[in-house]
Amino acid sequence: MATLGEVMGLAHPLTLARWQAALEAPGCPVCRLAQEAGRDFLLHVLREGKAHAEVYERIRESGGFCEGHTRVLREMGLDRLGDRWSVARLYGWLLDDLASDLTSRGSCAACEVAAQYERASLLALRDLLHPVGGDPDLRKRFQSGAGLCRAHFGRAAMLIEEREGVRILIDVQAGAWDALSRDLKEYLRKHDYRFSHEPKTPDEEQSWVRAVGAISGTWVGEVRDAK
Amino acid sequence: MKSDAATAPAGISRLDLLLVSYLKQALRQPGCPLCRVIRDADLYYLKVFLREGKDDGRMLLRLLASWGLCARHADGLVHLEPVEHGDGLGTGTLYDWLLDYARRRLEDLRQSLQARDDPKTPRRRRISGRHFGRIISKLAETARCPACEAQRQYTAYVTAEFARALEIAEALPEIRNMYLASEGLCLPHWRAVEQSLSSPDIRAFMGEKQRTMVASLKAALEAELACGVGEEVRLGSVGEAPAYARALATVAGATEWQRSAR
Repeated sequence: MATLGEVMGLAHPLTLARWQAALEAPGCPVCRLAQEAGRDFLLHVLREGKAHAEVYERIRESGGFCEGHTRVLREMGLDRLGDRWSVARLYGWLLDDLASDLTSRGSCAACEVAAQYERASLLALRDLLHPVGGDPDLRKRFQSGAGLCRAHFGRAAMLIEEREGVRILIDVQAGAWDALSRDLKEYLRKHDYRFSHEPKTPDEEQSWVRAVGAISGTWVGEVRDAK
Repeated sequence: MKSDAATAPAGISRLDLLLVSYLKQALRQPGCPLCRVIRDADLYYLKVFLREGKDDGRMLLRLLASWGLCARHADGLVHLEPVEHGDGLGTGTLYDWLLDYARRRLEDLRQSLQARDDPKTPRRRRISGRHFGRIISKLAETARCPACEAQRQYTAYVTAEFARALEIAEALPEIRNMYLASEGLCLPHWRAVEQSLSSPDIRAFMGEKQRTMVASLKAALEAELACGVGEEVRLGSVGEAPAYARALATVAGATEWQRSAR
């Protein structure tokens, strides 16, 4: 029997695979999926897309990419971005066009793609958690995971209308945050001179970093290898 | 004895001379001077925040509204901890407090959901309702990240002061000369400074310098790629940055400090 997601065409197998991979990695899976979408966009646009006039026009209109995505480009290095001339040509065009027209710019195209993918990922989560047509395997993985960051939990809770889906989301989040809070409180307690002799577990050692990610969102620093 | 204001040339008494000295230092170094001053200030803000800023009462209220720092600045805080000889205690205490606050909002949500399961109320399969939405909205930020806000305000200030320093160059002639000898501004700062300038002559002077910079950067970019150098380099490395990295920084600006540059 086809799942609801398949019927609706939202939980595509590729989306499911990406969600599975994101749940294996540390931090908020939606933060990760959105940031990777922005990076993949850069990669594909520079390898293939920028020769299209409308793609270049969109990049030019926004004054190139934002600082964050420009940093990603720099960290990727030239060799991963197709032939070495493609980026040079793009930036040559941008320098020419932008220097002659200093009007204010719109938002970064890669940021826009990341925001769109962020919403698509949350919609996919809604379908995957659906008690009737969702994906039981992913639901199980999600339930044993570390939940979402605060902002993405809020957005997911707004999107999911099905009572059972909301209940799963809240239970997973409460379990994850309770465990994190326990680790963090232990970590802080063991800083007291009276308890500093007690060994800290690896989870406790990392708890303050995980708490920052849980509240402020996960900043996925590393640049994944280009496929 | 005459006051400084009386002896100083017109306009100079109101110029921030400390900032001018930062700008002079930045003009001697590669890259956009405004980006460098703003980047250094952002790093300094986080260091002060880490040492004491986050313990201030008003700041705590501010952090409650913004739910701590944004993801980029929070990541910077985590990476600054060991550099500043921290052990995560300060950041951990702050985020433990915020996490408790978030858990209380989550408990409110859970109770709201349970109330809907009350046999006296009609059970619906779908969740909707203003009360539920109101609790969820408490998990959203109502104020910007204080580090982002400080950077935004400082950027406007630095841009305006740089424009003024160029315009009153009779008092500070070296600023114009240093600007002419520098690599120039990135495109976003060129755009911002140009909007702050009131003198058409200075605007023309700046436009000429900037266009020369762009032309030479483009030539260097093509020459460098023909020679096969310039890959996988980072800004802030010793010596002159390759043209590829400079072109990227010129188009986007480089106001965000890197972990390796701290």
